[in-house]
Amino acid sequence: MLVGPASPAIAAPRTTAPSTGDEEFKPWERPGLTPEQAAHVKEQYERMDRRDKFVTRNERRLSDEEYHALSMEFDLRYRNDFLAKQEKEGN
Amino acid sequence: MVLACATREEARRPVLMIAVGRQRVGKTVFLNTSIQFFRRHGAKVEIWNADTLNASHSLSLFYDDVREPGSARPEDVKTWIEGRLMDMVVERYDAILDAGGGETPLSRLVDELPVVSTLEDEGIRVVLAHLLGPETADLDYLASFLKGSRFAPKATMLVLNEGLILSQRSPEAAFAEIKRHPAFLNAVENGAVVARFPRLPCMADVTDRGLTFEDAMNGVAKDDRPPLSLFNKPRVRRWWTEDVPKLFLEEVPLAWLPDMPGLGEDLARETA
Repeated sequence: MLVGPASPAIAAPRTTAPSTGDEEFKPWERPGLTPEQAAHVKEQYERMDRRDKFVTRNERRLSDEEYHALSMEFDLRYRNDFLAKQEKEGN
Repeated sequence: MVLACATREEARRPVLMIAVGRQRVGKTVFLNTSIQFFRRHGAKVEIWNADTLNASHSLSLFYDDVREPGSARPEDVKTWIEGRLMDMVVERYDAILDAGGGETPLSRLVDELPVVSTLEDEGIRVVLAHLLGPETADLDYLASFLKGSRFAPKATMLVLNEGLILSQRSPEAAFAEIKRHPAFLNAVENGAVVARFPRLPCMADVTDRGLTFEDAMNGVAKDDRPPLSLFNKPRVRRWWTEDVPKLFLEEVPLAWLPDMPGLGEDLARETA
Protein backbone atom coordinates (compact mmCIF):
# COMPACT_ATOMS: atom_id res chain seq x y z
CA MET A 1 0.00 0.00 0.00
CA LEU A 2 1.41 3.32 -1.04
CA VAL A 3 1.26 6.05 1.55
CA GLY A 4 2.10 9.50 0.29
CA PRO A 5 2.43 12.76 2.14
CA ALA A 6 -0.82 14.21 3.34
CA SER A 7 -2.28 17.05 1.36
CA PRO A 8 -1.11 20.36 2.89
CA ALA A 9 -4.71 21.43 3.15
CA ILE A 10 -5.46 18.45 5.36
CA ALA A 11 -2.24 18.25 7.25
CA ALA A 12 -1.76 21.92 8.06
CA PRO A 13 -2.42 22.62 11.72
CA ARG A 14 -5.19 25.06 12.56
CA THR A 15 -3.94 28.54 13.18
CA THR A 16 -7.29 29.96 14.26
CA ALA A 17 -9.98 28.73 16.59
CA PRO A 18 -12.89 26.92 14.93
CA SER A 19 -15.96 28.98 14.25
CA THR A 20 -18.53 28.87 16.99
CA GLY A 21 -21.14 30.77 15.06
CA ASP A 22 -22.51 34.18 15.87
CA GLU A 23 -19.40 35.75 17.33
CA GLU A 24 -17.95 35.74 13.83
CA PHE A 25 -21.10 37.04 12.22
CA LYS A 26 -20.61 40.77 11.77
CA PRO A 27 -23.27 42.01 9.37
CA TRP A 28 -22.27 45.62 10.02
CA GLU A 29 -19.06 44.91 8.11
CA ARG A 30 -20.92 43.98 4.95
CA PRO A 31 -19.65 45.96 1.96
CA GLY A 32 -21.71 48.83 0.66
CA LEU A 33 -23.10 50.08 3.96
CA THR A 34 -22.87 53.76 4.81
CA PRO A 35 -21.28 54.54 8.20
CA GLU A 36 -24.77 55.35 9.57
CA GLN A 37 -26.17 52.05 8.34
CA ALA A 38 -23.21 50.14 9.75
CA ALA A 39 -23.62 51.84 13.14
CA HIS A 40 -27.35 51.06 13.19
CA VAL A 41 -26.85 47.42 12.20
CA LYS A 42 -24.12 47.02 14.82
CA GLU A 43 -26.35 48.51 17.51
CA GLN A 44 -29.22 46.16 16.65
CA TYR A 45 -27.10 43.01 16.55
CA GLU A 46 -25.19 43.86 19.71
CA ARG A 47 -28.46 44.49 21.53
CA MET A 48 -29.76 41.10 20.37
CA ASP A 49 -26.55 39.54 21.61
CA ARG A 50 -26.87 41.23 25.01
CA ARG A 51 -30.42 40.01 25.32
CA ASP A 52 -29.42 36.47 24.37
CA LYS A 53 -26.82 36.52 27.12
CA PHE A 54 -29.31 37.90 29.61
CA VAL A 55 -31.91 35.24 28.82
CA THR A 56 -29.29 32.50 28.98
CA ARG A 57 -28.09 33.71 32.35
CA ASN A 58 -31.64 33.81 33.65
CA GLU A 59 -32.31 30.27 32.52
CA ARG A 60 -29.27 29.11 34.44
CA ARG A 61 -30.06 30.97 37.62
CA LEU A 62 -29.72 29.08 40.83
CA SER A 63 -31.62 31.28 43.23
CA ASP A 64 -34.06 34.15 43.36
CA GLU A 65 -31.34 36.32 44.88
CA GLU A 66 -29.05 35.75 41.93
CA TYR A 67 -31.87 36.41 39.49
CA HIS A 68 -32.83 39.66 41.20
CA ALA A 69 -29.22 40.83 41.23
CA LEU A 70 -28.97 40.22 37.50
CA SER A 71 -32.34 41.74 36.89
CA MET A 72 -31.44 44.88 38.83
CA GLU A 73 -28.28 45.20 36.77
CA PHE A 74 -30.31 44.92 33.60
CA ASP A 75 -33.05 47.26 34.86
CA LEU A 76 -30.59 49.93 35.86
CA ARG A 77 -29.00 49.86 32.45
CA TYR A 78 -32.26 50.05 30.54
CA ARG A 79 -33.57 52.81 32.78
CA ASN A 80 -30.37 54.77 32.30
CA ASP A 81 -30.64 54.18 28.56
CA PHE A 82 -34.25 55.29 28.70
CA LEU A 83 -33.48 58.52 30.56
CA ALA A 84 -30.66 59.31 28.14
CA LYS A 85 -32.95 58.60 25.20
CA GLN A 86 -35.72 60.70 26.73
CA GLU A 87 -33.35 63.60 27.15
CA LYS A 88 -32.02 63.21 23.60
CA GLU A 89 -35.49 63.07 22.08
CA GLY A 90 -36.70 65.98 24.18
CA ASN A 91 -39.56 64.05 25.75
CA MET B 1 -45.31 73.34 33.41
CA VAL B 2 -48.38 73.80 31.22
CA LEU B 3 -46.21 75.49 28.65
CA ALA B 4 -43.74 72.60 28.75
CA CYS B 5 -46.57 70.10 28.19
CA ALA B 6 -47.98 72.13 25.33
CA THR B 7 -44.59 72.33 23.66
CA ARG B 8 -44.11 68.60 24.10
CA GLU B 9 -47.54 67.96 22.62
CA GLU B 10 -46.73 70.08 19.58
CA ALA B 11 -43.35 68.43 19.04
CA ARG B 12 -44.79 64.93 19.13
CA ARG B 13 -46.23 63.32 16.06
CA PRO B 14 -49.31 61.13 16.51
CA VAL B 15 -48.44 57.47 16.14
CA LEU B 16 -50.32 54.89 14.11
CA MET B 17 -49.06 51.44 15.08
CA ILE B 18 -49.92 48.48 12.87
CA ALA B 19 -48.89 44.85 13.28
CA VAL B 20 -48.36 42.69 10.20
CA GLY B 21 -47.14 39.17 9.56
CA ARG B 22 -48.27 35.70 8.57
CA GLN B 23 -51.32 34.16 10.14
CA ARG B 24 -50.83 33.08 13.75
CA VAL B 25 -47.57 34.85 14.50
CA GLY B 26 -49.00 36.69 17.49
CA LYS B 27 -50.07 40.03 16.03
CA THR B 28 -53.15 40.42 18.21
CA VAL B 29 -51.36 39.23 21.36
CA PHE B 30 -48.56 41.71 20.68
CA LEU B 31 -51.02 44.56 20.13
CA ASN B 32 -53.01 43.59 23.20
CA THR B 33 -49.81 43.67 25.27
CA SER B 34 -48.81 46.99 23.71
CA ILE B 35 -52.15 48.64 24.41
CA GLN B 36 -52.12 47.51 28.04
CA PHE B 37 -48.58 48.78 28.50
CA PHE B 38 -49.26 52.14 26.86
CA ARG B 39 -52.48 52.70 28.77
CA ARG B 40 -50.87 51.66 32.05
CA HIS B 41 -48.61 54.67 31.58
CA GLY B 42 -51.36 57.11 30.71
CA ALA B 43 -51.62 56.78 26.92
CA LYS B 44 -54.93 57.74 25.34
CA VAL B 45 -54.70 55.46 22.38
CA GLU B 46 -57.56 54.57 20.04
CA ILE B 47 -58.02 50.90 19.18
CA TRP B 48 -59.18 49.94 15.70
CA ASN B 49 -60.05 46.33 15.09
CA ALA B 50 -60.23 45.50 11.38
CA ASP B 51 -59.42 41.83 11.96
CA THR B 52 -62.94 40.62 11.27
CA LEU B 53 -61.87 36.97 10.95
CA ASN B 54 -60.46 36.67 14.47
CA ALA B 55 -63.44 36.13 16.74
CA SER B 56 -61.96 34.16 19.64
CA HIS B 57 -59.00 36.41 20.52
CA SER B 58 -59.97 39.70 18.99
CA LEU B 59 -59.04 42.96 20.72
CA SER B 60 -62.74 43.65 21.12
CA LEU B 61 -62.89 40.96 23.81
CA PHE B 62 -60.44 42.86 25.98
CA TYR B 63 -61.55 46.49 25.67
CA ASP B 64 -64.88 48.29 25.76
CA ASP B 65 -63.78 51.14 23.52
CA VAL B 66 -62.63 49.27 20.41
CA ARG B 67 -63.81 50.73 17.11
CA GLU B 68 -64.87 48.22 14.47
CA PRO B 69 -66.01 48.51 10.85
CA GLY B 70 -69.43 46.98 11.44
CA SER B 71 -69.14 44.88 8.31
CA ALA B 72 -66.84 42.04 7.31
CA ARG B 73 -66.93 42.85 3.59
CA PRO B 74 -63.38 43.76 2.51
CA GLU B 75 -64.53 46.85 0.58
CA ASP B 76 -66.46 48.11 3.61
CA VAL B 77 -63.50 47.48 5.89
CA LYS B 78 -61.17 49.29 3.49
CA THR B 79 -63.49 52.30 3.39
CA TRP B 80 -63.76 52.22 7.17
CA ILE B 81 -59.96 52.21 7.59
CA GLU B 82 -59.71 55.13 5.21
CA GLY B 83 -62.26 57.02 7.30
CA ARG B 84 -60.40 56.31 10.53
CA LEU B 85 -57.13 57.54 9.02
CA MET B 86 -58.76 60.77 7.84
CA ASP B 87 -60.18 61.32 11.33
CA MET B 88 -56.78 60.69 12.90
CA VAL B 89 -55.14 63.29 10.67
CA VAL B 90 -57.72 65.89 11.72
CA GLU B 91 -58.03 65.03 15.42
CA ARG B 92 -54.32 64.22 16.06
CA TYR B 93 -54.44 61.18 18.35
CA ASP B 94 -52.47 57.95 18.66
CA ALA B 95 -54.05 54.77 17.32
CA ILE B 96 -53.40 51.07 17.07
CA LEU B 97 -54.76 49.10 14.14
CA ASP B 98 -55.23 45.35 14.13
CA ALA B 99 -55.46 44.64 10.42
CA GLY B 100 -55.37 40.84 10.60
CA GLY B 101 -53.04 38.59 8.65
CA GLY B 102 -52.38 37.68 5.04
CA GLU B 103 -54.27 39.55 2.32
CA THR B 104 -56.27 42.22 4.15
CA PRO B 105 -58.38 45.27 3.33
CA LEU B 106 -55.41 47.31 4.57
CA SER B 107 -53.09 45.71 2.02
CA ARG B 108 -55.65 46.50 -0.69
CA LEU B 109 -55.69 50.10 0.42
CA VAL B 110 -51.89 50.18 0.38
CA ASP B 111 -51.84 48.73 -3.14
CA GLU B 112 -54.19 51.46 -4.24
CA LEU B 113 -52.70 54.50 -2.49
CA PRO B 114 -49.35 55.65 -1.03
CA VAL B 115 -50.77 55.41 2.49
CA VAL B 116 -47.51 55.80 4.40
CA SER B 117 -46.19 58.86 2.57
CA THR B 118 -49.64 60.49 2.60
CA LEU B 119 -49.95 60.06 6.37
CA GLU B 120 -46.37 61.10 7.03
CA ASP B 121 -46.87 64.24 4.95
CA GLU B 122 -49.72 65.00 7.34
CA GLY B 123 -47.43 64.60 10.36
CA ILE B 124 -48.52 61.10 11.37
CA ARG B 125 -45.81 58.62 12.31
CA VAL B 126 -46.66 55.22 10.88
CA VAL B 127 -45.05 52.44 12.92
CA LEU B 128 -45.04 48.98 11.43
CA ALA B 129 -44.45 45.96 13.66
CA HIS B 130 -43.52 42.86 11.67
CA LEU B 131 -44.21 39.85 13.87
CA LEU B 132 -41.78 37.02 13.23
CA GLY B 133 -41.45 33.52 14.62
CA PRO B 134 -38.45 31.23 14.22
CA GLU B 135 -39.69 29.79 10.90
CA THR B 136 -38.03 31.09 7.77
CA ALA B 137 -41.46 31.19 6.11
CA ASP B 138 -42.14 34.17 8.38
CA LEU B 139 -39.28 35.94 6.64
CA ASP B 140 -40.57 35.00 3.22
CA TYR B 141 -43.60 37.05 4.20
CA LEU B 142 -41.36 39.92 5.28
CA ALA B 143 -39.37 39.73 2.04
CA SER B 144 -42.44 39.75 -0.17
CA PHE B 145 -43.96 42.51 1.97
CA LEU B 146 -40.95 44.78 1.64
CA LYS B 147 -40.14 44.01 -1.98
CA GLY B 148 -41.30 47.03 -3.93
CA SER B 149 -43.73 47.80 -1.15
CA ARG B 150 -45.25 51.20 -0.68
CA PHE B 151 -45.86 50.18 2.89
CA ALA B 152 -42.37 50.43 4.33
CA PRO B 153 -42.26 53.28 6.83
CA LYS B 154 -38.98 54.36 8.35
CA ALA B 155 -40.34 53.33 11.72
CA THR B 156 -40.31 49.56 11.27
CA MET B 157 -39.91 47.05 14.08
CA LEU B 158 -38.94 43.45 13.55
CA VAL B 159 -40.60 41.78 16.51
CA LEU B 160 -39.16 38.35 17.27
CA ASN B 161 -41.92 36.50 19.09
CA GLU B 162 -40.27 34.21 21.62
CA GLY B 163 -43.68 32.76 22.44
CA LEU B 164 -43.60 30.92 19.11
CA ILE B 165 -40.60 28.81 20.11
CA LEU B 166 -42.33 25.53 20.73
CA SER B 167 -39.33 23.36 21.53
CA GLN B 168 -37.00 23.82 24.49
CA ARG B 169 -34.53 25.70 22.31
CA SER B 170 -33.15 28.98 23.55
CA PRO B 171 -34.28 32.12 21.70
CA GLU B 172 -30.68 32.59 20.62
CA ALA B 173 -30.62 29.22 18.84
CA ALA B 174 -34.19 29.47 17.58
CA PHE B 175 -33.66 32.83 15.89
CA ALA B 176 -30.07 32.25 14.72
CA GLU B 177 -31.14 31.51 11.17
CA ILE B 178 -33.60 34.40 11.12
CA LYS B 179 -30.89 36.89 12.09
CA ARG B 180 -28.80 35.85 9.09
CA HIS B 181 -31.64 35.86 6.57
CA PRO B 182 -31.17 38.42 3.75
CA ALA B 183 -34.67 39.85 4.24
CA PHE B 184 -34.00 40.44 7.93
CA LEU B 185 -30.59 41.95 7.24
CA ASN B 186 -31.94 44.21 4.52
CA ALA B 187 -34.68 45.48 6.80
CA VAL B 188 -32.18 46.27 9.56
CA GLU B 189 -29.84 47.96 7.09
CA ASN B 190 -32.77 50.14 6.06
CA GLY B 191 -33.32 51.30 9.63
CA ALA B 192 -35.62 48.69 11.17
CA VAL B 193 -35.13 48.04 14.86
CA VAL B 194 -35.24 44.56 16.35
CA ALA B 195 -37.44 43.94 19.36
CA ARG B 196 -37.93 40.70 21.24
CA PHE B 197 -41.43 39.86 22.44
CA PRO B 198 -40.74 37.83 25.58
CA ARG B 199 -42.41 34.48 26.13
CA LEU B 200 -45.15 34.10 28.71
CA PRO B 201 -45.65 30.35 29.18
CA CYS B 202 -49.23 30.75 30.41
CA MET B 203 -50.29 33.37 27.83
CA ALA B 204 -53.28 31.29 26.70
CA ASP B 205 -54.48 30.96 30.31
CA VAL B 206 -54.62 34.75 30.53
CA THR B 207 -56.11 35.52 27.12
CA ASP B 208 -58.65 32.67 27.25
CA ARG B 209 -60.01 34.26 30.43
CA GLY B 210 -60.17 37.68 28.77
CA LEU B 211 -58.06 39.10 31.61
CA THR B 212 -55.66 42.00 31.57
CA PHE B 213 -52.14 41.10 32.67
CA GLU B 214 -52.53 43.31 35.73
CA ASP B 215 -55.68 41.43 36.76
CA ALA B 216 -54.15 38.05 35.95
CA MET B 217 -51.11 38.57 38.17
CA ASN B 218 -53.34 39.85 40.98
CA GLY B 219 -55.51 36.75 40.94
CA VAL B 220 -58.69 38.32 39.59
CA ALA B 221 -61.40 35.88 38.44
CA LYS B 222 -63.72 36.61 35.53
CA ASP B 223 -66.85 35.06 34.07
CA ASP B 224 -67.08 32.15 36.54
CA ARG B 225 -63.59 30.97 35.66
CA PRO B 226 -61.06 30.54 38.47
CA PRO B 227 -58.13 32.92 38.82
CA LEU B 228 -54.74 31.89 37.50
CA SER B 229 -52.97 29.11 39.36
CA LEU B 230 -50.57 29.67 42.22
CA PHE B 231 -47.46 29.56 40.03
CA ASN B 232 -48.85 31.26 36.95
CA LYS B 233 -49.58 34.46 38.86
CA PRO B 234 -45.89 35.14 39.63
CA ARG B 235 -45.03 34.11 36.05
CA VAL B 236 -47.34 36.83 34.74
CA ARG B 237 -46.05 39.32 37.32
CA ARG B 238 -42.45 38.84 36.29
CA TRP B 239 -43.27 39.00 32.58
CA TRP B 240 -45.51 42.05 32.91
CA THR B 241 -43.41 44.10 35.33
CA GLU B 242 -39.92 43.14 34.15
CA ASP B 243 -39.83 41.61 30.67
CA VAL B 244 -42.42 43.73 28.85
CA PRO B 245 -41.02 47.11 29.99
CA LYS B 246 -37.62 46.06 28.65
CA LEU B 247 -39.18 45.40 25.27
CA PHE B 248 -40.71 48.85 24.93
CA LEU B 249 -38.24 50.99 26.83
CA GLU B 250 -34.97 49.50 25.74
CA GLU B 251 -35.60 48.24 22.26
CA VAL B 252 -37.95 50.72 20.59
CA PRO B 253 -37.41 54.49 20.07
CA LEU B 254 -39.76 56.43 22.33
CA ALA B 255 -40.97 58.58 19.46
CA TRP B 256 -42.36 55.44 17.83
CA LEU B 257 -44.68 54.79 20.76
CA PRO B 258 -47.92 56.54 21.70
CA ASP B 259 -47.58 59.39 24.16
CA MET B 260 -47.35 58.02 27.71
CA PRO B 261 -47.53 61.07 29.98
CA GLY B 262 -47.26 58.99 33.16
CA LEU B 263 -44.18 57.05 32.12
CA GLY B 264 -41.48 59.22 33.66
CA GLU B 265 -43.21 59.34 37.04
CA ASP B 266 -44.04 55.62 36.94
CA LEU B 267 -40.42 54.74 36.30
CA ALA B 268 -39.14 57.05 38.98
CA ARG B 269 -41.57 55.50 41.47
CA GLU B 270 -40.68 51.93 40.51
CA THR B 271 -36.93 52.64 40.66
CA ALA B 272 -37.14 54.35 44.06
